[in-house]
Amino acid sequence: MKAFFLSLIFIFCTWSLFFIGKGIDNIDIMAERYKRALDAGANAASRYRAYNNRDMLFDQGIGYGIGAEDRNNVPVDRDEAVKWFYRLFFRNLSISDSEERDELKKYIPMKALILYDRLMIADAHDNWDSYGPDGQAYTIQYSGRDYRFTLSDQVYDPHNGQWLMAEDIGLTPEDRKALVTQYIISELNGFLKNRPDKESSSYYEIVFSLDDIADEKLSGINGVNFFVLCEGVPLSSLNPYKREEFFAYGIGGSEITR
Amino acid sequence: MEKFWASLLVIPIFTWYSFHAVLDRDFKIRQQAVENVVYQYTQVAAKKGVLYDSVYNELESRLSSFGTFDISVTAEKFTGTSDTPEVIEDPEVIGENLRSLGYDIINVYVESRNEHPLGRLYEITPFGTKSGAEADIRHFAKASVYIQ
Repeated sequence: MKAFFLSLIFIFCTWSLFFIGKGIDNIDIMAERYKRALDAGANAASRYRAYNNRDMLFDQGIGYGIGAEDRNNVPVDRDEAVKWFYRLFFRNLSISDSEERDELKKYIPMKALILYDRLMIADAHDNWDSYGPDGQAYTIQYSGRDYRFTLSDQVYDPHNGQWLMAEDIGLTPEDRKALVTQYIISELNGFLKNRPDKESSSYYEIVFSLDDIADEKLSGINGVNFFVLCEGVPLSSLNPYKREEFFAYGIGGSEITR
Repeated sequence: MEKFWASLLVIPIFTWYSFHAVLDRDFKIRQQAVENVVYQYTQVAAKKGVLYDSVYNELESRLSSFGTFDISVTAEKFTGTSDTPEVIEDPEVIGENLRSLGYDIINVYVESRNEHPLGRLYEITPFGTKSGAEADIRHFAKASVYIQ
């Protein structure tokens, strides 16, 4: 009789599991698909055809004092970049309905353009004004004075109205890169400071490596970049009983080059 | 006698869960592999600006190890400010120099012709009755990549 009751309890438990938690836990598949969609979107944002025209290819050093040296500047059409990001991101997730797309955009709280001399960030509504209509210059205090830094070793001294090299103010290229990278990290995190994670309610913290010994290119921010944070687009799992929603966050980024 | 009835109830549930564990794992591994293959070949086509016949055939052959698949390939071109692209499909895409023709995006979608057995397992309860769930589970993958 005891065995009979034990088996009844066992059946109750397993049937509960059967209806509550049964199904393919496809979260790992979705995570991969999601990451690829972010990468494909960021790649399109940084590669779209406008960068191939003549205006984008020549004379972009003008206006930055030292001219042709370290010309890693490139003009970016921020709205076009975001548009191309969305096109590829949603295509990879097979989301074609415009209403559904608009609904899901609210889960992408930050699209950032790390430009040569300034940072621009759009919020979940693609509004660039929330951070600053023209972005924020990399104005950083060093040795008690404010300088406007760039992604190269060129530094603008607003007091004297002069372009200098980082070494002129006593900074090595590595230190200059670390300083600018830390500034950008703090600005990105500052922008997200009121945005708790949907699942854990804890806050995001974005970190870039500053001293990757394997490859210098992986240390800090080296060039103009499109960067996006996407949090838990609620995609349902394949489970026919439990319509789980996929909540996880991912980042995508791609360098904009000429 | 009680043990007999108890085991009569418990054994089907164990069997069902055993099948589930095996099929679930099988589905995940194959699905991930199918998605990897599709993404990889779409990236190659986007990078080259052309989906060569040889690349398409290789994609078909790689997918054939996971079953029979329908493959759909499209390319999209955005002109002006319109958000509605000009689209070409399979025969017009394969072998064409998409980059020089101004196409922006290549899409590859594959879907297995056969349902995965996991779907059929969901449709029955451990005791063989219909569960009422509709689960058409089959391998599929989609990749869209910007033509560089």
